[in-house]
Amino acid sequence: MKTYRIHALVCAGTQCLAAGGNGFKDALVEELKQHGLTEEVLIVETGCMGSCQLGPRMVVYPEGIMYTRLSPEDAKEIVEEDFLKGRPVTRLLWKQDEKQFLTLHETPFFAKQTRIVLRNCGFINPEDITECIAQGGYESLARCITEMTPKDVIKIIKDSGLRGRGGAGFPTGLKWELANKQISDTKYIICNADEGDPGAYMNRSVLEGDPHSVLEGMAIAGYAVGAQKGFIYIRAEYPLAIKRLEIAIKQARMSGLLGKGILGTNFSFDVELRMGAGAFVCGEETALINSTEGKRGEPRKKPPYPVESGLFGKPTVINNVETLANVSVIIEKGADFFRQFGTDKSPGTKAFSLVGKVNIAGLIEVPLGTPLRTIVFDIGGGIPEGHTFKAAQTGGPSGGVIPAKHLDIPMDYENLPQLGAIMGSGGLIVMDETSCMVDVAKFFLKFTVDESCGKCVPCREGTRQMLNILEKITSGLGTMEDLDLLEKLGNVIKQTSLCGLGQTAPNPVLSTLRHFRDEYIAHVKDKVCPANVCSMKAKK
Amino acid sequence: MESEKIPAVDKEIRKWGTKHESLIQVLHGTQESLGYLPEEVLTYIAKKMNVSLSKIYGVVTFYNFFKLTKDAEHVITTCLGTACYVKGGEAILNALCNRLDIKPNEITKDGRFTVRTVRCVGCCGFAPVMVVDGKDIHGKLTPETAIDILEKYM
Amino acid sequence: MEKIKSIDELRRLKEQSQAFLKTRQKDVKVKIYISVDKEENTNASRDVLLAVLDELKERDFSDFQIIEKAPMGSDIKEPFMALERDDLVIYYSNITPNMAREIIVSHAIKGQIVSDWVSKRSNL
Repeated sequence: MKTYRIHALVCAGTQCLAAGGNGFKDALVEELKQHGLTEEVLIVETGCMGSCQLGPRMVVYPEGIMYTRLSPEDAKEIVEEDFLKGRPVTRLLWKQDEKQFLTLHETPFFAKQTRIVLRNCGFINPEDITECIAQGGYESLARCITEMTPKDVIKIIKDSGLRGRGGAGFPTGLKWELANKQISDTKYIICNADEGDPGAYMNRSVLEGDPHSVLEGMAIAGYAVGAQKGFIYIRAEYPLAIKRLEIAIKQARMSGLLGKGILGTNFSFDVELRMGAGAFVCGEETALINSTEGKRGEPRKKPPYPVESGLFGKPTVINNVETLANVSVIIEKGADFFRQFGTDKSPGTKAFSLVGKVNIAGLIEVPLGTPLRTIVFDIGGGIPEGHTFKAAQTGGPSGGVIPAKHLDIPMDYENLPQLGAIMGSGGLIVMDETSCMVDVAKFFLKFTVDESCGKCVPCREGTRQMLNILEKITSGLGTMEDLDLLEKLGNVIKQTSLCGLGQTAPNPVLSTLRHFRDEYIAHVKDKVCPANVCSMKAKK
Repeated sequence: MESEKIPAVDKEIRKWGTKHESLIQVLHGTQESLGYLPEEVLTYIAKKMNVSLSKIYGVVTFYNFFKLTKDAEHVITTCLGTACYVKGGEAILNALCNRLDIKPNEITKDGRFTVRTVRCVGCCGFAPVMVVDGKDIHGKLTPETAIDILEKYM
Repeated sequence: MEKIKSIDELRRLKEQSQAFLKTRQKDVKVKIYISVDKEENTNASRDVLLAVLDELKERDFSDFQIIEKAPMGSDIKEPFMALERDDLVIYYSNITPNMAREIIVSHAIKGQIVSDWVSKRSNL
């Protein structure tokens, strides 16, 4: 076998590529040729390594030395100093608070993370199935279909307490059990990769960095519920993830890990991709089903639930990317292992995309129940340029804000709703005092008004009216009655909308009204925007 | 229908089949080849896949991704996802529109440029971000650097 | 890419593939430290490195990592090599490519220290 003394892992996630990662990689390839090192140094293009803001990034093994903010000009120095002389190029190391860090593991960014879902992201070549197999990939599937009954599989997932990572937190094992009990010749597994919340890119990172973990999770789900066919519904805006998935599916089929008679058993399962076409509502599971059937992505009435009658009227399990990426680890290491992390009711970990006004923005994974303060200040390194933390927003257009006085809130499925926020899919946007909370609410409402599919009246008309009121307030024409009206209208929309989009659309308004009412009042009574964001055109 | 457009559609229909569930995928592939979805193409797809034109129109107009008219030569998409928004994405959008003297979604008179918004491209670590022609992503923008990038295409 | 036909085949493939990933793993059987040349015009250490790589390839041994090491001071003369194996670090100084090959075969692969050439030893 060919071995290389140095593995240079270059991040080839969307963000590092956007920051010029390809230019660096090309320069590195050229320098290796020039120095005759192509037989000694292997360049591996990986998925996202996490601290996206410091990209393009590279990690050099065996020592794991991490270089940040690389440009093509840096390639020569790295080859001559590090690869040939064994001397790290210190000017390219991670620097924070006047300290520099040689490896990722030494950084405060990494110290408080636990990587289950992202176990292989940034460590393996996602376009090579053998690297995934080396890390134990597909062994859980193999064990399921050779040593376990579907009931055994469901039991482990139920015991683990795994909850849907798309946002709602429905117990995955229970969903599988309900689908398993349905009597039908055909059942389907759908992986929901329509990651729509603005500011959220966890799922894309998993698909780009470790696509096989999702395929394996889907196949295990298929075995557990008795489905032979799976679809991945993915945003068309994620071309790199689509490409890596296509490669992964092809390699898994060629290796006999997808398709007919997997590993010589009589279990068959195959996966196809379905591209979305830019409609936020398609993240809602019944709308997603309609879209997968080639129709307008309008939601359906529930019940019947998809596990009873979903895709093409057949029992269908819809799981989120991150949920599925957890499955093989739970099978491999057991429910108790999984329960070591997180809380009793929210076991395991959660991936977040930590972005906005934070020093180190990026993709992270922490045990559920980790305090927000730890995430923002220890992992994210706090707020830049002397600004102060004002609020964090979770759950995108369905979610709410967490104000500074609740910085110690454990981030899990129980505590967040008590503040009027939700766990959501994992977008975590940090805001400082320069953000106006009324404007933030307006921002999300605009989004919902654009993305409301128009099928039901409360969502279509109600959100539009709420937006009108917010525009009134942000231009200085609001009245105190408007605030009550916003709350009343918001609650009606929540209770009467057809699908999850409408039922959660008022959350950004209701939660900012709850935690930042004084800011609304300042807009209404004093006709000023405390953060100096809103135009307040009507001000005299 | 102009004959040169048929092969692109036929290729997609061969790939995906004529089942109704393939409609969105066929539309995707066709738009990728042609740049947009002209009426004559939709009529052709309707006939081939045995779906009514009105249904296809309903699908095409439901999704943001599909376009019924020819696009500008360069499409600049500014991200207005939450991270870009809190880091000043709107100022980028306004600067670009002012420079080109158009409103968002309008095409310049010479047909060369348009500026659109997108809800998130997932490059939040580099917010605020814009994408040129669907592939070149530029991040950590200020209104000035955004204009500089735009002017390279002018 | 061939079809994997059983769980045992999958496990065999896993083991083989793991060998390829050794450079990235925490635990390996042997860590080989090799000095680097101080001046641009000497290639003594580089030649040792190339001999080591060649010998490892020849013997189809993959459970190793190679780490380049800066000069150690006067008692360990370059070119040198240090092997970390079985919780012991053994230094061999002033070596030639041929000596390096011998050290790889005997010490790195078989675990037998070439005591005649040892200049220093230490516990981990």
